[in-house]
Amino acid sequence: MVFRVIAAAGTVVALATVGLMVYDSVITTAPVISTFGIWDFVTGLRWAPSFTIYGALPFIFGTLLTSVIALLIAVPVALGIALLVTEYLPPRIAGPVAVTVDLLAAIPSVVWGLWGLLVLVPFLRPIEHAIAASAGSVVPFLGPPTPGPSYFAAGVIVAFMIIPIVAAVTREVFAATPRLQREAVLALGGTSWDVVRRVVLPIGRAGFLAAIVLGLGRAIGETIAVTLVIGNAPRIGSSIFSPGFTLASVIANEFNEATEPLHAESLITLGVVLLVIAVLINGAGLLIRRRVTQVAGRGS
Amino acid sequence: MAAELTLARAPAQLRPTSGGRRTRAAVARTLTFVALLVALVPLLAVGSFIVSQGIGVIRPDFFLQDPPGDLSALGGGIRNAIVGTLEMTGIATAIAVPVGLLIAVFNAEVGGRLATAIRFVIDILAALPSIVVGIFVYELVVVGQGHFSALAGSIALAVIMLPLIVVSTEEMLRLTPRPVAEGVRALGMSRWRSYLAVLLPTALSGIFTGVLLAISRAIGETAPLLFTALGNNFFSVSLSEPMQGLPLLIYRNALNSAFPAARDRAMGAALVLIAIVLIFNLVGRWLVARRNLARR
Amino acid sequence: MTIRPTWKLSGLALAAVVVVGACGGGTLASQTPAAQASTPANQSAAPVGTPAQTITYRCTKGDGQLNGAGSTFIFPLLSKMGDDYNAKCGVKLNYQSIGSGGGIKAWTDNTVDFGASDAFLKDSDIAAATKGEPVEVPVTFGAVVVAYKLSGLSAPLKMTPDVIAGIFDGRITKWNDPLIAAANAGVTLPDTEVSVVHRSDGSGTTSIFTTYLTAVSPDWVTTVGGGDPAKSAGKTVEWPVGLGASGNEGVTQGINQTDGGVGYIELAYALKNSIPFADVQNKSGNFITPSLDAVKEAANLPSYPADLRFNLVNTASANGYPITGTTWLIVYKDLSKVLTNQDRAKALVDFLWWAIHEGQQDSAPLFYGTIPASLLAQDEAAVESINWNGQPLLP
Repeated sequence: MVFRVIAAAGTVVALATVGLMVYDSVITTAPVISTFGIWDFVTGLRWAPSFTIYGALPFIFGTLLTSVIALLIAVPVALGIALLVTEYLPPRIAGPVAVTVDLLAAIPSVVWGLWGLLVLVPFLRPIEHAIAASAGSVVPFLGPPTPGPSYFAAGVIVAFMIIPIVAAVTREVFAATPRLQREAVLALGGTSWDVVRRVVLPIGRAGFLAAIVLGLGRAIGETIAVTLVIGNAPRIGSSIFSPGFTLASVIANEFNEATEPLHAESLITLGVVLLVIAVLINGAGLLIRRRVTQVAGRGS
Repeated sequence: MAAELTLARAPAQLRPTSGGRRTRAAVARTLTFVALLVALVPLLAVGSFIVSQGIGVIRPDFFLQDPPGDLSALGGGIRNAIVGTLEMTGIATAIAVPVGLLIAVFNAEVGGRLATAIRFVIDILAALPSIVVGIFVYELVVVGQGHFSALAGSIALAVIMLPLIVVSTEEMLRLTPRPVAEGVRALGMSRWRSYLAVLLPTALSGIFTGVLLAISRAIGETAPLLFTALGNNFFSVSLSEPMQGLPLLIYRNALNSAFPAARDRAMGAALVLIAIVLIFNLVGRWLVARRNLARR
Repeated sequence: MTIRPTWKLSGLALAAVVVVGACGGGTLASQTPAAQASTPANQSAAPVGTPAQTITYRCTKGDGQLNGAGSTFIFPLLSKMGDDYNAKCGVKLNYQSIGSGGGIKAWTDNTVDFGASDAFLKDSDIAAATKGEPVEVPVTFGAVVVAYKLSGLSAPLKMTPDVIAGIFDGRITKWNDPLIAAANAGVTLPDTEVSVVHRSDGSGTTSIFTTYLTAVSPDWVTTVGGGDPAKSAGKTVEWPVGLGASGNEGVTQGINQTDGGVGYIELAYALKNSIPFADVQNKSGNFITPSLDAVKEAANLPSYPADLRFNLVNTASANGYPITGTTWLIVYKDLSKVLTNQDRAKALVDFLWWAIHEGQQDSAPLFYGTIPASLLAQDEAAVESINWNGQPLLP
């Protein structure tokens, strides 16, 4: 009985923390919502504290765009690494290779941002410039100007940060595919690619999807590294090479100094928007994971 | 994934020989190596960048001295930041581990709908971007307390660690062999003692691993400290004063080209921070690997 | 302007002052050495021959630490001052340069002992502070320069107010724009794109710069403020162009990385990084190279308002640099409402008192302007007005 009470106490602490956060966010976001309305706040294009005008869309756009860029880069790479480790490399080498890739996750966000600003951005600038000058005139969203810090630079940095996460989960999913079916394909004269295409990918698909969602969840909340390389411009850029802003990075930049009316409250509301996006993504991840467990259950 | 598949097919279609399937396999294989390369290049680039920038200031004094009072002065070290990071992470661990264990045990005990609800809350905590944790702790602790403080920083880190610990502990308790759990009950042990004496110790190495990985995640975080611990240019162990942390020191000084000496110290701090995260991370992984071996 | 007879001190007199510190029981009688008389800090006009006076710096230790946050502009100076004050009184001054907006918010929320800002408090800031009235103490002055990176130029560019406004409101997009060329006859300007870098954090440097632009350019007021000068000047404005970077440090970095980059930073940051900066045409029509002397010219007003909230931009002084700013240290007037420990309050006013006197010696070597003689008495009165539930905190 005592035990239950103590265990319950721990749980209550956690629940109370979340409860306080919910209470706090309701209290602080209420004036923002009553002033602008939820819809107008979320779809507002203009963020101008000096005019007491707050719209979240440039940040939502920036968060989604950088995350999509990050996924477009990270997912194929992570998939390749997971296949390499589970299918192509002998176990003796596969282990160390996996750990080495995981080391990417040991680099703190602030260090990624520093390297991004001092090394990656100068490196990418001429490339962005060349793309903008050639393809940019034909393809939308690839045009100039290319000042360096941009959605694209932020996306690339975030990609590096989520590769180890997506790769690690995908690796585990692939490693769990039944040996019997692989051997069957090989016995029928299939190549290693046939094993991947006919066994590993179909069976591991849902798990792979869950890994992507996990990476996405991490990507949308990334703050410090993004702040340093995205250019911090609160508007929707005309190109992926334009400077922009994300929900997390605008909070990091402006919260400590929000003294204009409703400014701090609006930033907290952005935090709630970010949280809602995170919870939605997390929920999708849970659904997929549940399906994975069912599939895995059937498989064994 | 789609890109991968089309890329893999394209060259094969160019050469529709009888060895098409074999070619396709070789191309796929090559592409996986390319993927590895794409991941290793930034790893090596960041590693060599930080080492080359930071190694210059590393010497024993760098760990034992505080920064000079005038930040533009040469010399000095980052003792205040190392101690601050360890203290705040330590307190965060001291908060998050017991609470996390209790929640995990409670969930395992009550089960059912309540456990599902709690798990949902924990999932929300896990999904909280760290900057959002930072603003909530600012609103609830810093403003309430009336000043930035190491305590607020510790609480923010604890909130980040908590869900990681709950999830890993739950997993470990679930993995405890059923005969052990049933045997303990059969002996008539109280639930409390069964956990303390048998179940938790059985899962101990797994739980410990979860804690280490949670620490390695929290210790490198900057965003939750910005609005809570604030930073401190001096050595301070007081929980009620602002405190320096390695990530804060790096964030505030690494781009400060007006203070080359402060910039160099920040680069050294980045090297130290990576080393600390690596140690926690690798020890955690090593324990996982050892446990997995043992289970086999 | 009232000068309290006891403290008729300034300029040269300061150098002759005998300083008696009493911290931790022992008497730390650090005589200000005669050498200080020759430091440029003390060159500001002062009645020569003012009799030497004795200032007692009480050096209350309080908790041994004072926390401040805000302006990145004043950071190099406060860092040096803090080191000197710690050596003298054993009180650690922990100053975090998070931006002037941050300094004001930290003061408002009472999360630090003092805030520092390059913009004085707006009426709305004062109204928002529920914990009491502010005291704003101007402690230093400096120039905001228009710094740029443009390959192939040897001499510094000359800029008229219209050119600066044009660059930052997006009308000028190329460096060989006729407006720039007109001000720089004989200079071959490249066809490089103008790449604006501005502050992303709420910044006093931004406030100084945009207050200047608002004062000199109706175009700026229209484009950025929608015609409202209150909205085209401030710590954060709605930038029509450019990318944001954090702090003077970040902007410096941003300018340095791009050919064609241009931004506004504090003079010391430009000098330390050897980034070229423009000569700016002032109200009298003279092109002024930003310098400590030109700042002093601009900072020296015949009189200052009683609440010490003043702007120095677009100075009428013929040799003054037009983009000159002030940094204020901001504390609550009645510290009993925000602190629990009276000794900490004493430590705070002791530091402020030191900062406007002996601490001023740190200014000139770091390219900051000292408190002009005509302002010191008001500064002293401001510090003396800080109290503990009505009781004065200074001895």
